[in-house]
Amino acid sequence: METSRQLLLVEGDADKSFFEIIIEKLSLNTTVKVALPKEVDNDGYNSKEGVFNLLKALLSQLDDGTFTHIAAIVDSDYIRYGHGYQKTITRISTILDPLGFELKESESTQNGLCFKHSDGLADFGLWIMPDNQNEGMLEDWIKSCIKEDESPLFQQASEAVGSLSDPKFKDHLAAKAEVATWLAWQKNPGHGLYGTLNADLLDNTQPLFQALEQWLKAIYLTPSSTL
Amino acid sequence: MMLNSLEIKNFRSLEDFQVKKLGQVNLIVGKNNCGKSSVLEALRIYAGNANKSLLENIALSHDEKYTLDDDEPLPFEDSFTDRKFPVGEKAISIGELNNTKDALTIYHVYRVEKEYSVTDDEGNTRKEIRQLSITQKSLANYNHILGNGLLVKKKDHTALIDFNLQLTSLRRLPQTGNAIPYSYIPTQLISMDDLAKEWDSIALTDAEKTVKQAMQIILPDFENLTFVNASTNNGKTRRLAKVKLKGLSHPIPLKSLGDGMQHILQLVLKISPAKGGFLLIDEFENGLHYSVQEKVWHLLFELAEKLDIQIFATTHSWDCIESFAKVAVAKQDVDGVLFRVGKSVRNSDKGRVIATVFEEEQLYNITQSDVEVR
Repeated sequence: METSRQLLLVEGDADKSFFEIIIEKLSLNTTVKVALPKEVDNDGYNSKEGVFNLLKALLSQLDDGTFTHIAAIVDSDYIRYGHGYQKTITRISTILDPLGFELKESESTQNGLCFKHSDGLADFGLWIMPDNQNEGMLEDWIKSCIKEDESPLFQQASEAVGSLSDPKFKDHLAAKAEVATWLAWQKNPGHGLYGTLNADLLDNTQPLFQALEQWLKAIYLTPSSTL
Repeated sequence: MMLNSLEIKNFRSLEDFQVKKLGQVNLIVGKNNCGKSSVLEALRIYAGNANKSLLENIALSHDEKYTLDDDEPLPFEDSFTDRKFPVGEKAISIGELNNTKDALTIYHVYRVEKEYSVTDDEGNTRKEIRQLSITQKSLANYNHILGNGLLVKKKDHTALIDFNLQLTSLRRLPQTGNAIPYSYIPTQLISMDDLAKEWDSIALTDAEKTVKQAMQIILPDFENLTFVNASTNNGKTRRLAKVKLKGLSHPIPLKSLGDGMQHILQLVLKISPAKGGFLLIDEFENGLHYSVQEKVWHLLFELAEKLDIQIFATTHSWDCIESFAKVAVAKQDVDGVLFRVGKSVRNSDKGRVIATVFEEEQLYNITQSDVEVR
């Protein structure tokens, strides 16, 4: 079996099944493998640092064309926990700079990030959830793309989560709890984030949805110099 | 003897090839025809000081020319990049990175004559004509070429393989035996008769003990091994390996345990002769079911350390890469390196064949993902 030469690295299983559907619906005319680090951190999450470690090992694979395009989607997370948009850029630049990749200046980072290569390799794409700007995670991106007719139900789910007198989760994880609750109240409860796509709960004309799609197309449909 | 890095120049597709770090055990991967086997060949040539019979064997295995006739190409010309002897002073060079003084170099040379003035003890000067070897670079200074050859150099030693002569002259570089011991395991099965000879040569030695211990690791019921004479259909005798297994009263033919066991036997028989040198395995996974590959890697990592052997193996198989990575990561004290041979897509490299190296940390990160890097 010919393995895919285009990779999208994501943080965890929930993200993987979500982005596999996004890519499938895009009909890119090319196979993009969505991959993740198997290591999990102490809280049982596949870590963002795991993505960076994997990235270090995989970027050198561009040199001989084993992979032609690599991109990553990670959460911005929260400044007060040592993360955030700027920290993520700084961290990933320590991996990319020595390999000849340089962040392409653009007027609006909202449309995704692109690191240009100086010697003919394909650009490296980076999307920092939710919007390449603010703190947050994939669930925040989902929140901003919810279809109008789903809004009332989501509103109720948010209120239910917000009304908990003594929530077990830390407050920065509220978006995760809201989306999970909203999904739990669907016609077919029990599905992961991919359920938002399969049950057609998101509005792909929303600016962030459009931006993500355009970014994926730009990354995977731009040929590297020799191909 | 251990190479810490590798640089190969002008040898087949490896025009300017570097591996920045080698381990004690090295696994080489890459697509068909990418140059994996050329790396093993280069190491054989390095270990064997490019002796003539080795170069002949390698040429023969490719159905390439190694004797002079009236047609192009010249003998061994196919071994050079682009299958042409180079212009200028370029040579095949095999050695460590940034260590040209210990590298083995092979120049294509022209044999020419030059007149020298010689002054004897009594002060009389006379003219003398001597033969010498020159490269293409200074060819324009001579109008009569006697012949062609290869000039092999390592440190201050040289050897000339003159295509017009049967024998190698200028035997200052050892041209018999190997400078560095090595065993080469080709993709096809070595004949039982040849394996029997190997077995005879290690009878009652420590090496025999090593073979038996190794067989036991792969085949836990293994008790003992011997080669016996058997007759063939046409009345000739041949040797065949028999093993004694626990719980069986009589010995059984090794082959009755399947092809895999013959692959294992040839591997373990070839380990001891590589002591202090290189063990070169072309297509490691040959005949080895994936369930046994991890055991074999364990064995090889252990013996590499014990017998001071540097191992180079090629593979096509992802199972093999996974089992290698698992053992390399587990065996902290023995360095395992994987490198892939392939064409660079960087603009500045212009299609050069390069090595992509995975050290243990990277191997671990890759195996901790669901990405295949074959």
